Formats: sequence, structure tokens, C-alpha cells
Amino acid sequence: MTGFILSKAVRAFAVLFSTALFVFVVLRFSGDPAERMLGEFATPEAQAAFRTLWGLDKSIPEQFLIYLQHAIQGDFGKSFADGRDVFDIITQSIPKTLTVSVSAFIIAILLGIPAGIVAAIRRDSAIDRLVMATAVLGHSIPMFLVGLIFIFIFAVWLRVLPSSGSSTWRHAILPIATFALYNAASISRFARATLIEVLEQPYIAAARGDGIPPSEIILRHALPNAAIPLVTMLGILATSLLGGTVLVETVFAWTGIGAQFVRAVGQGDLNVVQAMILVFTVFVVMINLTVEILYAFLNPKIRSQQ
Amino acid sequence: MSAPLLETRNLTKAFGQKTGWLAKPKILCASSSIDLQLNARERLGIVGESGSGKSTLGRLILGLTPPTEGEIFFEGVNHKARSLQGWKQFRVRTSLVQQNPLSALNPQMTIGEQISEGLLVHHFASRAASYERAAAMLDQVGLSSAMMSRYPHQMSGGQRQRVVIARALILDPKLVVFDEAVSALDVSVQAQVVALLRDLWQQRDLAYVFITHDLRVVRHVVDRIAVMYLGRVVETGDIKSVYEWPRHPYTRALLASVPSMDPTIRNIQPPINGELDPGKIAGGCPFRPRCPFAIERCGTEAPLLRDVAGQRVACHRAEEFPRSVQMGKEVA
Repeated sequence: MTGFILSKAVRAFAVLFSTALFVFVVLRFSGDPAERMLGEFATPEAQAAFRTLWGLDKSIPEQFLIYLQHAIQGDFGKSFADGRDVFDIITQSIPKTLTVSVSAFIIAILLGIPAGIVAAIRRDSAIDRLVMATAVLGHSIPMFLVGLIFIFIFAVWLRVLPSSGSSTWRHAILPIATFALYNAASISRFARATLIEVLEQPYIAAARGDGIPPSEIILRHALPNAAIPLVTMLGILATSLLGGTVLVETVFAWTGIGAQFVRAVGQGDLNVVQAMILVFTVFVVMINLTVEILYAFLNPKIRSQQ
Repeated sequence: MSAPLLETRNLTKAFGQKTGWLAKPKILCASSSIDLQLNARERLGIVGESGSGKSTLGRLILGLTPPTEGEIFFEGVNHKARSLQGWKQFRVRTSLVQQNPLSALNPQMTIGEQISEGLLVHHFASRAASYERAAAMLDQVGLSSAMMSRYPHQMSGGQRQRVVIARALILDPKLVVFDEAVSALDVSVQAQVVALLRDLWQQRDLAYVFITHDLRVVRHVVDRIAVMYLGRVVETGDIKSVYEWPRHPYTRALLASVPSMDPTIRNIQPPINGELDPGKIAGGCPFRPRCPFAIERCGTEAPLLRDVAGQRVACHRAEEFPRSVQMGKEVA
């Protein structure tokens, strides 16, 4: 087990370091932050002063070493735009984003998996078609459009919910619903397809032939075997819980990390962009690690080795 | 004489094959007017090439797929007349053994859990007692009870098939359908499993329906054989007499295609060409397009199963073929 953790830690560190290096270099080749921050009409002197202030006049390897040195001490620098500590910006916006994305994800699992199971069991029935039609719609309409439709229905027409902002829990309802619908659509489709594949396995026919009741077949035979691909898929979806809400946050003016990220990229706020990408990377690494640990519980090939 | 254990009457299963959007589906008959009878303790082999509908027949018998037409009686009770309780009883008294034992076992459950599950869900035994019986059953199929806590992936192919057989027999069924049960196994393991099936049959009150394409294996397992072609039974009879004197050109071709160990025996049967094409049959004998002996009558009148020297054969010219082909050890 210690070997397992150690190898994972080394790998996670390698991923983090290479991401940091890659992002750092690419950002410095993709446009001049002094020009973007100060505007194209700023005097050359003002731009030079800006570069000296943020250390952008040094060579890239030098800048990277300085960055690393600070980052290791937990100092990710300050925002070019308003001088706020990058660390503060991130720690303030992450909870906002996770409030929307995690609750939406939980709702999506609670809706999507049962819907997929019912659709798979009652395959080709009216309920299957209804579930799948809803899922295709939810999946194929862009999230920002769903958001706008929700705003139109609930804020403009019915006037029961606020259209944008992030001050109260009522502001969270529409963003959560939008994000949940999208994820529930993906989850239900995948759950249905996975379960149908499992139900066609010979051991299901054998169980039916032995007179095992249908409920037992689903619970004891089909679902445990559908769980592994399902967890893989949920893991992939979960990696977007931090960065995937960009559109939703923008539509509803929800000041989460996604909206902040879009702003920072647009303004060339390098320190903020770098740190946020690192946070996204850490998050993805953590999700993947969780999925791998779950595998060990779900897969008898791994389970029985312990 | 008492009623047969299993009887099918005019059993037909048609599948619609969609050829295109809005196009009228093409009807494929996987089983067509099949009349079979199986007595208690009888072992019936069903042979035919892939696509002949033999697996569908197995699934129909076990009620895993509903027939399009016709009736199935088990212990005198029509499938159609079974209540939920009746189906439960039927499931207890019948069993299925499938081709690939790895996919026939649930990868998430231990061997012990899978074998004892039937006893538990039908409330035949407590958990402890059902585990004990499962262990005893494992012993009967030649596996150690230490296997109880193993998972399927931790066993060899032959061991897995023994587990599948143990699971099939734990409820003490009267009828077991084997669907290509040994086809996926190595030849040496095949022989062991075939020997096991013979032993089990001798010890128990069991009837077999043994579905296979392997004519060499089936001879060692069954008493009677039914040869299927395109969903129809074309010849049926005692295994020994059919092998000695096959009367249907298709049976003759199948038997002739089995390589002989004796180099002096030459194949005198003209080989059949082409493949099964269920689309082509319109009136007449379904085997006609591939039959080297087809005459004009075969194109107009479909032959029905009729008695020919103790066998039942669906061929107009059944009496004309000599006792021969290699299995009969006669050289031209």
C-alpha cells in the first residue's frame, strides 16, 4: 500500500511540475500582458515599467525559477489587474463554484442513474424513449442556452427566481439546475448503455434460467458489474466540476472560479491563470486517484489480491 | 406410456430483420414448426451449423425467449399456462449450461455464492446449509471445496465449466440444456467434461438437451439426435443408427465433413457448397440450393419428416442413399 501511494505521489508531482512548466512557458509566448493590461495606447515607458514591476523583463527560465521558489512557499503572486493575492482569489471562488457543481453533480447522479436503470430494464418501452429523448435534448442543447431558457422561464416569465448574481441560495438554484440537467443527461445515457450490455451477458441468462427474481438479478448481478464502467465515467465527469462550470457561471454572473478564470485569461492576468490551472490539475489528479481507489473495491481481480 | 418430460408442438420463432428505415422487416425463421419429444432421463443431441437455429431452440425450451407460434410442454404443463409460481417451479426443474464459462459466471461473485444462490433465493436451505450443499456439489463435479471462495477469473476454463455445471445441478433439475457447453474448451478438457456429464447422468434423474455443432463430441453424450437446418429438424433418430446410416443429404454431408482417423476411409459424399442463406427459401425443400441430389420435386414440394427405417427424415429421396459415408466405414 505504501508503494502504491508513493508511486501515485511521484506521478502526481511529475504531472504538476510539467503542467506548471508548460503553462508558464506557453502563457509567456501568447501575447504581451503589459499591452493587454494597459491597453494598446499605453506609452512604451509605462509598458516597460509594468514589465519591470512584475519581473516580466527577465528571461523565461529565470522567471520560472523565481516563480517556483515562491510557489513552493505558497506564494502564487498577485493579480496584475487589482493586486489581490492570487491565493485569496482562488480560495474565495472555489467554494462558490463547488457549491454549484457538487450539488448539481449529486442531483445528476440521483436523477441520471435511476433513470438509466429504468430505461435499460424497460428497454424500447415508452418510458425508455421518454428518458432517452430528454437525455439527448439535455445533452445536445448547449449549457448556456439551457441557462438562458431557465432565466426566461423562471426569472422573466414566472418571476420566481433571480436571473443572476451569487448573493443568496436562491441565486444558486438556476445554475445548479442547468449544470445538473447536462450531467444527468450524460449519466443516464451511459448508465442505460452499460446496464443493457451487462444484461446481455450469459451469466444474466443463467440467473434468469435459475429462477432468480428480476429485482435480485438487477441488484446482485447486473449493477455490481455495471459499477466499474459507471465509476470510470463519473470520474471523467467529476474532473469538470471545477473548470466545467465556466459557461454556467458566465450566464448567471456567478462569481466562481470559472468566471474568474475567463476574466484572467482575457486580461492576460498571468499569475491568476497559472495558479488556477495548477488548481485544476491538482483537482483532476485527486479525482483520478479516488477513482483508482474505488476500482480496488469494485473489481474482484484487484480486491481478491489484497 | 406416461407423458414425455418435454414436448414441443409446431414450435416456431421468427425474427424480423430490419433492412432499412420504413422498409418491411424481413422475416427470419430461427425455428420452424419443430416437434420434439424428450422423455425423462433421455439425452437428446441437437446439431447443425451456426445459424441453424439450435441455440434459439434451447432458449425457447427454457422460456428465455417467447415463441412466435407453437407450444412447449414440460411435465405436461404448457408454458403459456404457467403462472408466476409455475414459472418458478419450471426454473427450479430446468437449467442452462452455456458455451463460454467465463461469461456465464458473474465476475463479481465468488464461486460459492453463485452455486448456492439458487438454494437461497428459492428458500430451499439456510445460508449455512446452502453453502454446505454447494461445497458437496463442487466435490461431485470434481472440484475441491477450497474453490468456494474463489472468483471466476482465478480458475481455468475447465474448472469454470465444472462450476457452471455445479450451479446448473444444485437445484436437482430434471432437464439441463447444454448450449455448446464444451465447444470453448480444449480437447483434453472436453473429454473430461464429457465424462463428467456421463457420470452425473448415471447418478441422477436427469434429461439432457445437448446443443452442439461438434459431431464427434455429441456421440459420446446423447442417446438420440436431431439435425437442424435453417430452423427445421431434417433428421432425427437414435444416435447409433443415424451415424451408421444417415438418410438426409445434409446429415450425410455433416458426418462426411468430420475428418477420419483412418486413412483408408475416403469421403464419397459430394461436399456441399455455399452457406446458409435463410433469405432464399421460397417453397420447396430449404436444403435444395445446396443439395447435390436435388430433383425437380424438391423445388415444388417441401419434404415433411417421415419414418424411414426407424429414423425420421425430411427428404424425398431418403431411401435412395446407401449406408456409407465414412462413419459407416464403407469405401466406395
